[in-house]
Amino acid sequence: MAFDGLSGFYDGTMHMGYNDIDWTSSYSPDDKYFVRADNIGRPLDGLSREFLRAATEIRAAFPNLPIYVLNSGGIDSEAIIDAFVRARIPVTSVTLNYEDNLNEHEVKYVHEYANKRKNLVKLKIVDFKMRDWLQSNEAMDYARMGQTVQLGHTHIFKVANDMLRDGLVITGTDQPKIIRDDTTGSPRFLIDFEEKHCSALKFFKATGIRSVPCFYQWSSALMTSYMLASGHVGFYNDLYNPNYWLNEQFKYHFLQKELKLMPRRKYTSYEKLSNLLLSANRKYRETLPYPWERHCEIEVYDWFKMAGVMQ
Amino acid sequence: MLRFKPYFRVHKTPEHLELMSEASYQQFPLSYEGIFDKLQSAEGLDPTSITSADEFSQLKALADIDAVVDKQQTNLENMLDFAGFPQNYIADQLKHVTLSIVNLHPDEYYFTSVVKRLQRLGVVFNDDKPRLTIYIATKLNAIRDAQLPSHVAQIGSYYLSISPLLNPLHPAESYYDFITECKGTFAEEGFQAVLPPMYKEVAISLLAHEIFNMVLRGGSHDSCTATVTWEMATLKRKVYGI
Repeated sequence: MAFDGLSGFYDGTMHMGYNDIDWTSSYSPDDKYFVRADNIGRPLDGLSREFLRAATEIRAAFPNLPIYVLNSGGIDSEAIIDAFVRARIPVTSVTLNYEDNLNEHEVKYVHEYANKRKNLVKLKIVDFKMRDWLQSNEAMDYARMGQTVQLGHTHIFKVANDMLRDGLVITGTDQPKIIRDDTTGSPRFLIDFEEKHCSALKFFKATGIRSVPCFYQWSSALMTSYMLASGHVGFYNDLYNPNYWLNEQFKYHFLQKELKLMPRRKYTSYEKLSNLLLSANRKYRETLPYPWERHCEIEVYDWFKMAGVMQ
Repeated sequence: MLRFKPYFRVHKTPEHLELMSEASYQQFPLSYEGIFDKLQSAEGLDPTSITSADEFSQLKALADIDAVVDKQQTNLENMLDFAGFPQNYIADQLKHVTLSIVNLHPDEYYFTSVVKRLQRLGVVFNDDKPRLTIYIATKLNAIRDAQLPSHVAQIGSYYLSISPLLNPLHPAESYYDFITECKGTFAEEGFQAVLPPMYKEVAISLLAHEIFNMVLRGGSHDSCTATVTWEMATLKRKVYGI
């Protein structure tokens, strides 16, 4: 297993950064972001087993560190914690509790899940004033460190930096999004890597926090298993009506089928904060030397070609 | 007229109002009592009658958590809504997944009956440009150059089976290798035993049921990645996955 210096982000089969140099940040508008994956090099398992395998590999790679999983209360974070629980690896679930019960639904799911698995999941609930944070200068400083244009990502940086430096920080920030491209005649299936992942990677590297910024992209094999999961077969063959595919509920049903997680009705705090976030972002972006959106102008990738699944 | 979705229940305590369903629990201040009463009443709440800003923001808060609905829903719509499916899911899915069924079975009765049943259920057929083709045959590995994507249904013997989805990523040959590997699980003589006439209608209804579910569930149906088999004598459904 190959790791990057002290930090160690992935199992060595995923590469990302700028100008073809792994794990780099960007310093000029001309820098070009890239994502690359090695061939799998072994028989692929089902998604559930690949999750388990990734959890075991992470534990083996960082044997003596406490594992902190940043848990938003969503099903993506729960899937990560569930992988560690199934591998019988103790894990601490870190959740931010916003003021005025802004995210009470998310926190409720966190408690529900952890209460049933008390012997393996330790809860760490951090009270956090999200409204004050978004309007603070400190949030802008953190955003600059991660080279992000979105202040909405910075609260997890703050918590990781202040409280979780003694352990390994795992987030599920960027679950890959699959896009169907019909423009070339025969359909191609591309994935879109979001800015969130890229900025978390840059922040954790700059601060020297040991982390896996995106569990879903731990290894080339895990990503490929995700792309080839049975729930996606229908999408590749155009068997879902577009309304359903674009609906968030698809994700819940998908993870219920693949990982036996319970779907939910989630009323996110994001809607309640969206106006504030919009104005704070606008104010912050005026201070940037050049439009940092360029940092995240990430092209979509033909994953199957990239991981050598198909030629 | 706006009403609460039928699966929500309202409970009043001295401190607050509780709005709950089997999947969620909400608390609201007592100031919401007026709008709660209107939404619970038989006439419902006319949104054009709202004049105060307070009442509008209260209604918005309830709409944000998806608790109100503007028309009476059927039981099926309620069930799908509760499970989180988007509105008009079934209609959209039936319109999207158009079928073509091809008969390769010597006994044409199976084909005609299955088609009739599916037409009654609202499945849309489009033989020129289908989204999914289904071959009805006597053997799972009867097809070599199938129109993709497609399924092969095997009917008329002790086992009723539906093949995994044949598609460009996984063409017929690789799946037939898989089926051959699974052969130990299927008793060979079971395929040769002809189904007694008394079981014919049962087999047809089971096959129509599986195809209808396949259309509704799209790629989430078991037969997209595994062989689904019904044992006709015991009526047990088994899934032989990869």
